[in-house]
Amino acid sequence: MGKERRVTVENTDVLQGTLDLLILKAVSLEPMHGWAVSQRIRELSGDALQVNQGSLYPALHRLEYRGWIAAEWGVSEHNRKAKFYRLTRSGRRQLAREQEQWRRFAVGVELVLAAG
Amino acid sequence: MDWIRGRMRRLRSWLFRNAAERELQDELRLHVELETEAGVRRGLSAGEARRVALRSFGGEDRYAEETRAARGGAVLEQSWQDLQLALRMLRKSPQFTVAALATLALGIGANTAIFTVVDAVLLRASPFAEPDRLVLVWETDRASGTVHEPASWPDIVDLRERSRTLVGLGALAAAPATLTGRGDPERVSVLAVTANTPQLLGLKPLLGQLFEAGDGTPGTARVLLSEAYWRRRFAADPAVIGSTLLLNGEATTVAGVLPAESDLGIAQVHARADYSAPLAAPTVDVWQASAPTAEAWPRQTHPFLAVGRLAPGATLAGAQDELAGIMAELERQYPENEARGINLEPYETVTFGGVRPALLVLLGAVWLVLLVACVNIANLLLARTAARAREVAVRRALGAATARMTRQFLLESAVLTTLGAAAGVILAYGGLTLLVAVTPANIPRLAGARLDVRVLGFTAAVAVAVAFTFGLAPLLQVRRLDLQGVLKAQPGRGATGAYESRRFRNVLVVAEVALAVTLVVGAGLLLRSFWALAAVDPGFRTANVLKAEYQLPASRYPMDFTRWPNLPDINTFHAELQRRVLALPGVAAVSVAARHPLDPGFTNSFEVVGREAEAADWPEIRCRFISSGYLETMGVPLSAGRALADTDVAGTTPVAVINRAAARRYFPGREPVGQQLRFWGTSWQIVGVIGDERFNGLTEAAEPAVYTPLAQAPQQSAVLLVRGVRDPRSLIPSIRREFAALDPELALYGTEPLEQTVAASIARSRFTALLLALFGGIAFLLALAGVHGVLSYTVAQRTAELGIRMALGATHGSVVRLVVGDGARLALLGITIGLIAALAGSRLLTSLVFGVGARDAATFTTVAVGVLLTAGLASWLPARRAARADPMTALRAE
Repeated sequence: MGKERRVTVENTDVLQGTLDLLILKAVSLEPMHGWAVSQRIRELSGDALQVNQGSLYPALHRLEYRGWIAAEWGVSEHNRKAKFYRLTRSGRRQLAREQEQWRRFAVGVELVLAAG
Repeated sequence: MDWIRGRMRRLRSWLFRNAAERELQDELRLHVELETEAGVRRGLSAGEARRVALRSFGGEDRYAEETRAARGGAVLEQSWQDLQLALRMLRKSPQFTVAALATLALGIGANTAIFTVVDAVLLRASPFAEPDRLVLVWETDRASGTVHEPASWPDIVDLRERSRTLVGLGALAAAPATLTGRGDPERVSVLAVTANTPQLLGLKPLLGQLFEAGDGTPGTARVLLSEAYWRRRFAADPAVIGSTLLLNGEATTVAGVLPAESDLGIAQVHARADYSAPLAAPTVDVWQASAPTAEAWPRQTHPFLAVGRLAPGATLAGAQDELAGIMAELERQYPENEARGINLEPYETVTFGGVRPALLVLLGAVWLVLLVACVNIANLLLARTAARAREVAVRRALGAATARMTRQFLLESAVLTTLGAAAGVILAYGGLTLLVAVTPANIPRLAGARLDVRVLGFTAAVAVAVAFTFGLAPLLQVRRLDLQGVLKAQPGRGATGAYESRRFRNVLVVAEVALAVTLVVGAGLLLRSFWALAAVDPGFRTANVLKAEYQLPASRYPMDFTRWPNLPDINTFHAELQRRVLALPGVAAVSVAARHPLDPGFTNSFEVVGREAEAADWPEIRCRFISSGYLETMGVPLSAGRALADTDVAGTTPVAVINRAAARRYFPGREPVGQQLRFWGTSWQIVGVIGDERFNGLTEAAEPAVYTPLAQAPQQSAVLLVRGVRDPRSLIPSIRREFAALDPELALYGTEPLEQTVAASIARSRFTALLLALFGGIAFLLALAGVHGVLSYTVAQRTAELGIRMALGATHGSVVRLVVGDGARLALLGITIGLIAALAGSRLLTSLVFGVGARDAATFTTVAVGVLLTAGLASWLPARRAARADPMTALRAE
């Protein structure tokens, strides 16, 4: 039944900014590889948000290309080679900006919905 | 800093794109592994967990592509990939590629070459100032009905003094001369002009200066050289200015050099004149200043071509009226001007009048071919579209970005058109070289034709625009389509939109067939004309006959009219030359004549002694001067009486032979032999009747002519006609030796087999017919390719349908009939439209056809049937393929 309530975050125009925000937030906690990012978002959202893998990697590379996150090859929990992403300084500023924007957006939507 | 890092990353990722690619693979593999393990932990089997993990990626193509795109440097890398892909795609369908390249090359190349010729001849600026204000001033003769007679010198002087509508009037006359004192004697094409002529035409000298007033009077003999002659004979040496040339033994000073194309198209002007002095060549080598006097050139002589310039504000009609008034005054004043009038013609009409229709028809043909080529490219690309609709749909479903695909299709078009345009440029260059080489010499200004970059650019732009428009068609079409529909539909069962595209392609095929039919009909008419022309019996036999012309200079072979015709210097030279050449081995017959059979010469008024009253209504008769041996040499039959003989010389009874046309016209029901003709104050006894020769070109019927012995009417200019036992070219050296032995100061010119002279006289019509046939052929092949292509595609689309029909019992024959019927319907519609267009356009061809009507039913029918049959064949091939297919295979196709 949890499946019905889960929202898939995909790389569509509306939700792309949201996906970027979620990824930035996830890697701001600690450096982690791609699969861990998707798991962390799922856990933190209480299983409500599911990141489509087809959107995750393009987003990671896009953020890396913009310089908001940096990648480094390291060794994962089971001693496997993995690419770890961490937040850069400009990424941190971007995260703050996007968090602020998102909150204003969410408050706005809430106000509109509360009106009825 | 981050910005710089970003750039660096972008560069690095492009430089090390293979490493980046590997890393991406590693990263994704790890993800799938971890996801699979997570699935196993949730209780799935290993295989199922892996499938779920893979599925969570969505379209595999898309994630990879988008990830790469997000990585920097993607644009550069993708362009390179696209280029490779484009080349691979073109290589993969060689039929399409060759067809498209050939179409582009023909459309661009042939078009540019022909347009360059038309541009050089008709459109390029002439060296004259305001050439549209120049007029040729002809005299008319109401008595003979001639309207293109050269003018007399006193008339020119009077017109020049009294006219207000002309700002100037120049006189020209061909005066071929022999240049001596600089190596071997050389025949030079000299045009004698009044000193004001170059200024009047608005010419600017390349070097030196033009004539000054008074040049040409005794003691001031000055000449201008043509640029071509200056380069050829004097190696473009500027020191030639001021030097002395010996022309016919007279010293003249070189004043300057005139630019190319300054000679008014003198050959065309000459051809227009009712009579004129012979030209040595169709272009002018040397302009000689001449100051005629009324004493030397009285009113009754008409040797001068007159060219005038309209005064500002004056119109052609106004000038015609004014000059006609002046001529009427002159007619009242001078008895010599009885029945004389005036006829003004724009110079451009005369010079280009004969060439213009042919070139315009060729230009029109070239546009039609370009149109057919464009239609064909469109058709080829659309056929490919159909084939690629699935490819596009699949790739889009797999997540390929539309922008990326657009870029790739554009690149493919660009590669195709670049290669096609390059081939077109090569073809244009080669074609132009070939055109200039095969073009008859009587098309003015052609030598100046250079490949025009603007023209090339224009045609290339047209073809490329078409290719690009239709190159993108697959995308436009697929964008409109329901992707699911295309993907789900079996290609054989008619995808959505296919009907629409097929209808569009049918329209293109009909257009293509129609254009091709129009062209082929035109080509057919001109080819039939040319064959009719080549089959004309000229009345003389050219095989193994050599002609060589010469001119006896007045200084050493004077024309003394007090003793005429007893001029031993001239008569002995001609007779001695004939005797010596006849003695050469390999010579069958020899004659000396005033003109060769394709040079019409002049006409003269005449009367029959005893029937003088009738002569008032008679037109002038063509006058020919020949020595003995003419009939044998030229293969002209003797119908009655005897031929002219060696014994018919000055001092014996003047005699003449007439041709059959003259006998029919002036002696119907009478015996001409024994009658006397009277002209030049002499009565000539008719001794024989001979066959008709066509002097006025092959298209004109033989006109009445009288032949008198050269020895009884001596001429300074003459032509030696030699019939050899075999190819007469081998005789040239020995003939030259005999000629030089008689007079080492003289030049023999125009030495060529008479067959060549005849061929040159119909060269223009051969040229036009040949080119149009070429265009017709190209258009025809393109159209056939179009019919074949459309039907092949249709058949491929209907494979399943045809399979069902055959499974239900349709015979092979009925399937073939079905498909061929489709092709025939398209062809019939195209043929009908094409025939209507050809009928409407046939008016343009009227002046170019000979011996066949411009609406010749046989040509129209042949073309229609021929195109229908070949179109049938073109559709039969795919039809056979369809009928041969095994119904089960057809049903299961794809």
